[in-house]
Amino acid sequence: MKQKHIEHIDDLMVNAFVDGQLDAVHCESMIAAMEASAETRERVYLMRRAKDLIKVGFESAETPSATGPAPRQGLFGRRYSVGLAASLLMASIGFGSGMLGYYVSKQLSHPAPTGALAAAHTPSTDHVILHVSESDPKQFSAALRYVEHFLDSNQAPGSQIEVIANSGGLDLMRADKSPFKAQVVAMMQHHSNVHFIACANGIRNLRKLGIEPKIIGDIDTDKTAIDHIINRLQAGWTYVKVDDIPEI
Amino acid sequence: MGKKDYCATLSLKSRIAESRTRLYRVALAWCGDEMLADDLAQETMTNGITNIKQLRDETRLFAWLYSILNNNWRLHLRRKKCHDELDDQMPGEDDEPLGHCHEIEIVTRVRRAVATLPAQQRQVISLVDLEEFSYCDVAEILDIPIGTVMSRLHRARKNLLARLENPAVEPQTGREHIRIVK
Repeated sequence: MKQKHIEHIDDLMVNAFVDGQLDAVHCESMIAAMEASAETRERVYLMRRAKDLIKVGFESAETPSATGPAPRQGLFGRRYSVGLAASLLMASIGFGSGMLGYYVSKQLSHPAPTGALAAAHTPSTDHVILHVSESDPKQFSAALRYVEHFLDSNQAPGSQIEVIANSGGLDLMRADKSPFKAQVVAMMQHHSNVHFIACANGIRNLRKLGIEPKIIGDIDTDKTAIDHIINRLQAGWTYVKVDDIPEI
Repeated sequence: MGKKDYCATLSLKSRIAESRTRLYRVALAWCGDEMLADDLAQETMTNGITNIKQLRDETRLFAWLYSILNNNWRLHLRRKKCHDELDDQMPGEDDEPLGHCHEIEIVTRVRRAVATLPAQQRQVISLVDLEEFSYCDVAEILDIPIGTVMSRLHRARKNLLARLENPAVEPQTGREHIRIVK
């Protein structure tokens, strides 16, 4: 019976053994086969080696932004790990998705979660980062309406709002494509506390596709939208995703 | 949304956010391009957070996330108008996916070898060996039969070792078997 199992060990079974995918009966057969045959042992060794090599090759890989320069600002005076920083982002997104746009302060009365999430700042309603990621005129319009509303309701000195665009959202800030170019330019000219930021990563991706986007003058660029958002969240800003705004 | 649901959703979103490096590593194994891998990982996180309500079983969070990553990768290939079979899609030397890397030699060699594997094999080997998903999970993530997972995995490992031994060796795609069947 034992010999019968040994004769039927194929390559797929060897891999399944290496990956711990065999049931107890087949596992025992494999072990018996390895005891009986140097050739089987060699086959198992090679597949294990391949498995280990993949780990060696990729386990040390860090995201490009994680190995980049330290954030330009942050209340904590040090850089958080990507995981924690992202947790902070998600904490705010969690708040943001619950509160939807204008109802920021109301929903912030939720009890703070424990763990990493509890480390998040209480977001400030007079410092808002508004995120646009889709090429959708309705979303662009909603984003600009949101900015106008913010300016109307936040007259205190020091209040700021940033509109950050990546992916399709970059179209809002493209001089050659934005249906709201004049409005964006006017906002920047008349309000020193409104900033528009284009994701440099998104611009690079467009260039890869052979598109040279003309970004509206005076609009800043930052490395990646997500890094910029995380930096702002570390500084206590409120994150609002444009498609969370109720009017859309 | 009740307080309990609210906290559960927040926790899931936090777990998604913390998965960025894991997603990135698998995406890097698939595409061989650091910046593209980061884009794919970020897009996957965004999709996951946006569509968190579609996740019915929280214990399947990572399988679900990797199925989103797979969709994003396929979408990217389609956008590049790569109408060829995925098996034919290999990161080109002209993309210089790893040329600017200053990794230790073995890491560089492994990544180069993986980059030459057919895309479908890269997907399976990275999910099994890096993320340690079960064969059933990989079948679900990639929406392929479990037998296909097993055969692609075996060919991937065999090709990887052959490429490391001799970089000039052409990887097997599996179609050779079709030719020899009567």
